[in-house]
Amino acid sequence: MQKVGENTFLLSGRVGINVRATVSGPIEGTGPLASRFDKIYADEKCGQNSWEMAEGTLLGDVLDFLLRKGDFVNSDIDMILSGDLLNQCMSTALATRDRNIPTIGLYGACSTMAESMCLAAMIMDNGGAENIVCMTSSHYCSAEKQFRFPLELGGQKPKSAQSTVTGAGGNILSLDKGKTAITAVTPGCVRDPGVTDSNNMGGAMAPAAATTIATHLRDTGRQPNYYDMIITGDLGSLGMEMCRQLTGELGYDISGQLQDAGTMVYPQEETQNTSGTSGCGCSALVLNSIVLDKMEQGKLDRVLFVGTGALHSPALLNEKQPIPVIAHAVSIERRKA
Amino acid sequence: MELNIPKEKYKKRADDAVEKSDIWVNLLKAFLVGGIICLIGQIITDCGLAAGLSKTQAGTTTSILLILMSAVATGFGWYDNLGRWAGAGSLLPITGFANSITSPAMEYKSEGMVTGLGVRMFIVAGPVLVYGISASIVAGIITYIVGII
Repeated sequence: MQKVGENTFLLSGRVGINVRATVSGPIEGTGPLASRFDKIYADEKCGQNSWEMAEGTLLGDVLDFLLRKGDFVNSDIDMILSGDLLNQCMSTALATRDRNIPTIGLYGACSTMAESMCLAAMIMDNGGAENIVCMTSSHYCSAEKQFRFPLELGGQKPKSAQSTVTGAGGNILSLDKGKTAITAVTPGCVRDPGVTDSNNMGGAMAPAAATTIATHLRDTGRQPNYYDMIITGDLGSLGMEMCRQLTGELGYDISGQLQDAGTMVYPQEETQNTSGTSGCGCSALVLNSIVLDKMEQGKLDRVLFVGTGALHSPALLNEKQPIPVIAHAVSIERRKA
Repeated sequence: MELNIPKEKYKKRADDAVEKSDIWVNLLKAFLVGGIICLIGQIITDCGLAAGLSKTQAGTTTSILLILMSAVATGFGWYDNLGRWAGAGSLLPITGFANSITSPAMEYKSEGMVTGLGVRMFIVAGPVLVYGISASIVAGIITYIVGII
């Protein structure tokens, strides 16, 4: 591992994405990515009694799928890096309890998938750990309950709002295995662009995404066209456009590469009056289904995965503080055959 | 690397990027739904009066029935759909108040009848009660003093 430029770590390429898994809720299960998910729950409660338990079940299922797909037993896994949106990382605790695998809880809001992969790749690159699970989840109902209002309260949301994805996704990073490898990571800095509107998270997160992308490109000396796709998750349609403009203002035109996970999960009729989706589960579902599917099939060679998080706290917002935001970049490349 | 945009300027830029909803359409929807709810209330009141209730009794019956209808609609998951369409039209009448108490009650039931439902039931309606009751006490004192003078 070698640090280059301001904030980027170049890796040896030994850390590969070995197996991956995705589990979604009912609405996501009617969306364009549905056929790629491992499991779709028809019931939002996932057979549980509460939203928190439902989210824990989604994440626990992902862990089960990952172990089964990789033919791993618990003792093969060196560590789990997992996080979610709920207070005290509730679903992480629920999904990992009694597994007898060392677990480190993370909080990075919707950037958690990228955050966990950044950390795992850096831990593994120098040898030592061989298999690390990176995973995260979110649930529309548990997130609304914690961050906003009760579900059945009749109110309106502006078009800039994003819906939290009900779903969980993850992967196991392994040394010298997998068709794709993590070749560089750029952990992001916490930004405060001054936005106070919790219904405009995309607008709030765009500066964090733009600075992380530009920092990564400058540190590595790459141009945007080095990548086949730069995928942010999750700015929504509004935030994605702002990110495109801001990155342009920093000297990099990413119009040809930029896509956003927040615009890819819901069926079209569900997104008409919103800016798309968000939540830790959103970029986790998209990365671990369509993006890595396409990379493994050889349709994409190089992808910059940029997880963006609004570190939004209802208490801080009530105290009139703007929303702090963050973005981490993970450079994923297909291994040469 | 940092963006050299002042916070105030960026905040305005982010706010301006939000597509504004059409205020006239919102007003019309709110007027229609709010009006219909009030019309239902008026029909209940008139029926009560025709059945021989006093004006106070008919008014109380109307409130009780509207609250019941709203709570049932909330329980079936209809009221939030109405609210998404109607905005203030379904928020302002007494049915909106009932919805604001029923919905957290449903949400927090999983955390127990006392620590969940009991504690959180007024999470939305609480401020309305606190300041509504406070204001009426102040109004009462003023009325009393004015009465003495």
